[in-house]
Amino acid sequence: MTLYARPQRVAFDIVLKGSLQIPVVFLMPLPDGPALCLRGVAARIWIEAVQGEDDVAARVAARMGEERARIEPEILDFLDALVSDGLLTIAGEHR
Amino acid sequence: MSTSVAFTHAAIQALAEDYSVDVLHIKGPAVDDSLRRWSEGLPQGRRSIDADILVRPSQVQHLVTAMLHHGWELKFDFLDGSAFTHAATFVHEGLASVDLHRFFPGIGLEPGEGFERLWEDRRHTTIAGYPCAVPSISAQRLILLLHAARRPNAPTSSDVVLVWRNASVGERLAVRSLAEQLHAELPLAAAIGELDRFRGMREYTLWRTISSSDSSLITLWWARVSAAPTLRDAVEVGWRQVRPNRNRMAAALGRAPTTREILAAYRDRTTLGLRQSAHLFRRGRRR
Repeated sequence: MTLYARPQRVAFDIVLKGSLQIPVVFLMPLPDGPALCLRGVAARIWIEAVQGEDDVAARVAARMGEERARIEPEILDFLDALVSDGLLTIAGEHR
Repeated sequence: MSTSVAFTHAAIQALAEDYSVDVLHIKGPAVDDSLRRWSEGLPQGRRSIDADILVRPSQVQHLVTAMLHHGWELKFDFLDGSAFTHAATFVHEGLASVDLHRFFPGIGLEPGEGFERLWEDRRHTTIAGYPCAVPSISAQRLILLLHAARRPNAPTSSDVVLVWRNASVGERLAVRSLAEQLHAELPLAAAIGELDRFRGMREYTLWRTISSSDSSLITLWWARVSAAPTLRDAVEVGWRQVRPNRNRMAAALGRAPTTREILAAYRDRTTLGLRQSAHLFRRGRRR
């Protein structure tokens, strides 16, 4: 399992929207940006990842009421994309 | 807290680090929770819409060059801002504007020494997840009070109630001590309603005028002129106050003002000044 962290030079803000307090994540690579916004599952994946969750797919699947096996490939692809865009960094591997 | 203002503070801090420039974040999200909690409940109009940054005076040009290199644009130069000419405004697409302070009005110590005194006691606070350098809590309290001193009815303003009236005896002593070190006793007194202790001093009239609700254009003009330390400064300040500001006019119009519009602005300001002079004269005779 891969452990993720927020890169030090990425500013962030998590805003809880509406009565359901659904998180929206705003991110900005420093110092130049651009700022971007993650909503819905994308926001949830980023939050779980930076909280040091060692099995992000399992956590997100549980929150969504989905089968982990069905959504795991897409979640892992998205995590890879966040890493390549510099919005997440790999903190280590967990066996 | 506005996300864009928080991101702006973080962006300037990161840029300052990259270019080895010392900055202190003041006001807005840089203010300690204990001094800010109350103001979070204020109407939208009282919340920060820009990021206020105090930069080491000797490094202003270095930071400005860095900012321009990183997509920031100068909106108002130092001379286009307040009458104190202390801050320039920069804008960047997708971020809040930055008020870059080369000194803070009310701090009488030479700007470099004043910054160094604040820098010595700096601490760090996290804004948008990024550690930003901020003044000590006492200095934050003093800066908010000096800022309040520039608004009408300063001693009864909500900021003064929060950071002074609600402060402990020890906290007030710390602020008074710092004000003394920074040569900011008189403006502090204007904020907290003790200005009469300084009656007769050169800047007394200026701060009394700024911090009161009874400040016509003409009394403010005279207060600024008479507070200038030298004759040359007085002439410069006096002229700058009368002259319409082309950059401000351009910002309001969305284009460069025409000669006719500039002349009209001169006429309007002169007319207003004469009207207020006449009003003051009549009021003086009634007393």
